[in-house]
Amino acid sequence: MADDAKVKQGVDEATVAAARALESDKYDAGFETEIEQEFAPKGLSEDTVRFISDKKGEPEWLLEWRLAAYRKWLTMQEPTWAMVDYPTIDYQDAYYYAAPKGEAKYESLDDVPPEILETYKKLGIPLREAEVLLGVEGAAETAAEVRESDSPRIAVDAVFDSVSVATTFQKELKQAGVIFMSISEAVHEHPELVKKYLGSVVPQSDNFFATLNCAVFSDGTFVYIPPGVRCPMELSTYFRMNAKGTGQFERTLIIADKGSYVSYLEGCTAPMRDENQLHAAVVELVALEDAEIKYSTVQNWWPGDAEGKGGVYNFVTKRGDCRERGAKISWTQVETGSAVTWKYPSCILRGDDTVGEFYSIAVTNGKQQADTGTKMIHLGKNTKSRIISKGVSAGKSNQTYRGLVSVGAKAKGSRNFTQCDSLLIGQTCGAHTVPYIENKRADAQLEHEATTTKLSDDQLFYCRQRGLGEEAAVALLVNGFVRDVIQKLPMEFAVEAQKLLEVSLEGSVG
Amino acid sequence: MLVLKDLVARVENEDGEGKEIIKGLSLEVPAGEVHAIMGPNGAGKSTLSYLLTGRDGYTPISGTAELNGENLFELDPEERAAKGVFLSFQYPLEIPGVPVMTFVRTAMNAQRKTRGEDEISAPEFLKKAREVAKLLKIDADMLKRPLNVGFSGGEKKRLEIFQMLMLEPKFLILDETDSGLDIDALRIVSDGVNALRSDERGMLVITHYQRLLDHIKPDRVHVLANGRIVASGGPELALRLEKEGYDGVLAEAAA
Amino acid sequence: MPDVIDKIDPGVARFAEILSKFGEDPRRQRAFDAFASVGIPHRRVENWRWSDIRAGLKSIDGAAPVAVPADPFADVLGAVFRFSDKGFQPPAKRPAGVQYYSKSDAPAFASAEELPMGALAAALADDPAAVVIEIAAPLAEPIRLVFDGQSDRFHHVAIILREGAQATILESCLSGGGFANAVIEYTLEKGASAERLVMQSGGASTVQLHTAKVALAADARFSQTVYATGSKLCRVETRLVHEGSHSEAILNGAYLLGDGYHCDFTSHVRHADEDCKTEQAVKGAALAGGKGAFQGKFYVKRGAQRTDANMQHNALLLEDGAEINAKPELEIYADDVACAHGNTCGALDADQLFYLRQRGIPEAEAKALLTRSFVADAFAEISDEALQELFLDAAHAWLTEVR
Repeated sequence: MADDAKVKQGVDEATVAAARALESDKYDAGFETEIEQEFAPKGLSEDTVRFISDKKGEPEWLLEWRLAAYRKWLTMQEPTWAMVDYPTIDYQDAYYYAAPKGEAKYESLDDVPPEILETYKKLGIPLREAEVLLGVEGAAETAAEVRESDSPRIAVDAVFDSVSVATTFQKELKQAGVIFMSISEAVHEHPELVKKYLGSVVPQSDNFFATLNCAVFSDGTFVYIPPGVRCPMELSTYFRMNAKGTGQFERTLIIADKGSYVSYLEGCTAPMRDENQLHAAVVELVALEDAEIKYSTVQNWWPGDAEGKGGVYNFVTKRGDCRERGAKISWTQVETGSAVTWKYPSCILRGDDTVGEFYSIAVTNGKQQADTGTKMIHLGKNTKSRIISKGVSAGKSNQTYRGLVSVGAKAKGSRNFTQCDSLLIGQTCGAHTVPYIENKRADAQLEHEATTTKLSDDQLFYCRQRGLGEEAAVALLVNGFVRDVIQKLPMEFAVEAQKLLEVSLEGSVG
Repeated sequence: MLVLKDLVARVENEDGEGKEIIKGLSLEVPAGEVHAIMGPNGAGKSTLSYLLTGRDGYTPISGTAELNGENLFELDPEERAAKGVFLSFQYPLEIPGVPVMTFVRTAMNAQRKTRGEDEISAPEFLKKAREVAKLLKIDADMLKRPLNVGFSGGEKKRLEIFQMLMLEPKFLILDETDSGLDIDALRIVSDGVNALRSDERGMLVITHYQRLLDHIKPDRVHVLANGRIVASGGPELALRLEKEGYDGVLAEAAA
Repeated sequence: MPDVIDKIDPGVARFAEILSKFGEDPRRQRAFDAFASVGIPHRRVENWRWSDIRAGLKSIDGAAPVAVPADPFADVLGAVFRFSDKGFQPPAKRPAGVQYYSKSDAPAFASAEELPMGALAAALADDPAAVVIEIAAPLAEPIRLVFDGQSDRFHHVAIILREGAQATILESCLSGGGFANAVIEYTLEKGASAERLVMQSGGASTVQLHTAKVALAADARFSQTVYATGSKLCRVETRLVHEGSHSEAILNGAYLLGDGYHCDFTSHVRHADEDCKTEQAVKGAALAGGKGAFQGKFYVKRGAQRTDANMQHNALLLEDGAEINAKPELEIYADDVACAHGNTCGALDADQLFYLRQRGIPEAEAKALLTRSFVADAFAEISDEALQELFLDAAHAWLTEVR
């Protein structure tokens, strides 16, 4: 906080003071796991790309695809239009591949190094519990027990730095015909699907960061839901950046075939480091006729310390394609981490009667910068989209909602509703809204509303008069502010998200 | 006057999905009579009013609706209005920026033009408006404000009756005109409607409750349920409904 | 959302040639350089994505001019300052409380980098290089500025309202052909009050850029209403700064666009001091082949507490084939503010339309009535009833004639 900035009396003063104290110890996920790692040579060249491809034993077509992307990337420029400011990234000063030493993929959880399992346990990821269910002979009883207990059943794919270390619930998913595995495995086991859909939503030359990802992506998750199948459980990937000086470039590809449904959760954490780590992921979703994909993210990458030192650069391209009639894609995100965020989960509403949704909560604090939003591209008839974005800025952070709603000439009867609300806490942060609305249809109905406000002194006083402590009052009001979106999260995730907000607020608002 | 024969009609939502709401409805309202249509929620009461006035999305599938021998379904909404069909809306629309007086005069002259009549002169119109406003206890100031914008539910209903008295339609459809009215407003509105009763006019009063019929006495009462007229009778039928509820009467009708 | 500036721009040379006739002139050169660094804007330049000047100029190149549209303010009383392709023509009689100066040397244009096309107008304005109008007292009658012509022209006007002064300024922005580019600088001193009413009308083969830069000192009040029917390519841009506290701005307007017409309302409001207020209501409607754009930005500087700013843009696409684009933007660095924006885009309300038809009003008339009332909100802040009526009549005439 700038010393010359006026601090208002009373409640605000204390709130703002607390906002200054973004201390590293508030970041619960900031530990590092000691484990032996294998790295690709530092820097980026065709050799790096070949190294990664070779490590994964990839087929020739994929190597060529990567190399084509790499060559394209060399001709591209880093985008500058976002309202974020960070030092120039030296792409030669990073590792593009790091893997825990040993097998690239573990046969069972028993083979996973205990340090990694410990890491996930610390983060509250239910791997150990899942282990019981995973292929262990005679574990049916235990499994039944777990099933009857209240604990949520979530199949998890855990990605540790560059590689997937464990995927749970394989057996049950297989029975339903669901394919849920790391993308490296999928390349070998389901090459026809990967070849057909990889890059079909986010093309190789889409943007600087996505193209980089095409060249060097290390691992990620592959999901295929066959026609008519309602995926029997939530699928989840947990990303963990651990190795020092390593970029993470995972790639997720989810295909929901005709009439299927899947709910997918994504969580991210990284250790606290003084340096900046680069994360440039690509997520592609394909929903075929009447299929529905619900994609939820809780992003808690290390945001850097109060002085803006360290933290993850989160440059992510996420896009869903409602490719056929009646498809629906819903993005929900809770963004509390990363030093710099550049992320616009989008929907291409190609089929008639398709639906796209974007629900977002972003909390920035300290010196965090986030430029995030969505694009809803209406191409088919009677397509509908809905955008609810809630931004909370505190400390010296800056946050921008940037969005596009576009209605093409053939998108008869399209509808969009957009609401983006910003909440400012303290006088040293910024909240910005940059929506683009493009309409070529007379029968489209597009509505956009945006407000910017601060926490109301009256409301705070009212809560405190009723006996709430100041921190609790702020937390309560902020929770109320983001409630619409929290409700869109799957139950288990909502609890986690709420906890995460509380922690962020503890350190950031009061 | 109004003759409905074996009407079957569908309601379409925005997505073009249709649902049959009127399922074989026959009804005759001779000139000079007031008929009440009562029925439980979802019976198709409002659908009937929109069907007769030609709202988009309300599509006749079979059967006929004739006003003085003329097929209503062949006419645009404004042509039906010019023929004298007036609907008092259950939820009157707000039209920002268009003052009540401007609106009514535009409507009146449009109807006259369609009928091949001369426009009303400004002094004549003003005189008439003043008289009607007085009868309905409407403040002159209200007539200068944009139509229904910021008006209470009661005021909106009163303005519907104001328009009705100004336009002097031949056939009146009152859709839940009593909803949202207090006792005094109900009396004023009813007086307005009763002032229009004459041998040349027919009226269809759609209501859920009997109380409006204490003020606007019907000649016949019909019970609409599930898209059909299931019972008809004199004013005593409405009183029975009030006492026994729809369930009793419907059960009897089904038996 | 790309932001690529194409540096190689042959179109710039055409204007450099005009500049060369003024000889060595550092002020003109600086303004010109600001323009040249951007070049002639096209759709890949972020701030011009919906107003491709490069394509617009190309398309009118060699096109025959048409008659200059009639001036809707012609019958309004007030001294007329006329700016046309035939030079500047001052009023026959200097109105009381008003001084004006024709500048033969180009004055500096301070906002050159923020308004590159305005800078181009300032760099090339000729005969005279600029006209300064100074208003020192409350004026009894409006002042009229008439911009018209049929060939390329550049104008630079500065209007200064001294402390406590009050004036209504009527701008007629009319064009029968060519590239009309005018920049007007409004400076309102403490407590001054200006009402700016703009009527834009142009042929389908003219490019019009009408840019205003407005600076408000403490307690100043600026109320603007624009009515535009567009041209081949038309941009009405306002860049306003609340420099002193408790200043107030209204930036209303309406555009109605027929086939082959384009209009872009762009505004940027900077709240640089405490307790300032901005209200903006822009309405638009387009027929098939009409293209409308609205780009509004509210910027709230750190420390500009209690800023109260509200932006609304509502547009109607009256037929398929119409196109409306909008970008309502907020950039806020102070917490104790109430800032909001809203944008709607669509067809007339079907329920309202049915209601009018049920009362016997034919469909076309019902649509015109609803559109007129829709647009009327944008004229609500015009203080003089007769002038307000003039705006409503202009819109009504368009709705009955063009439709």
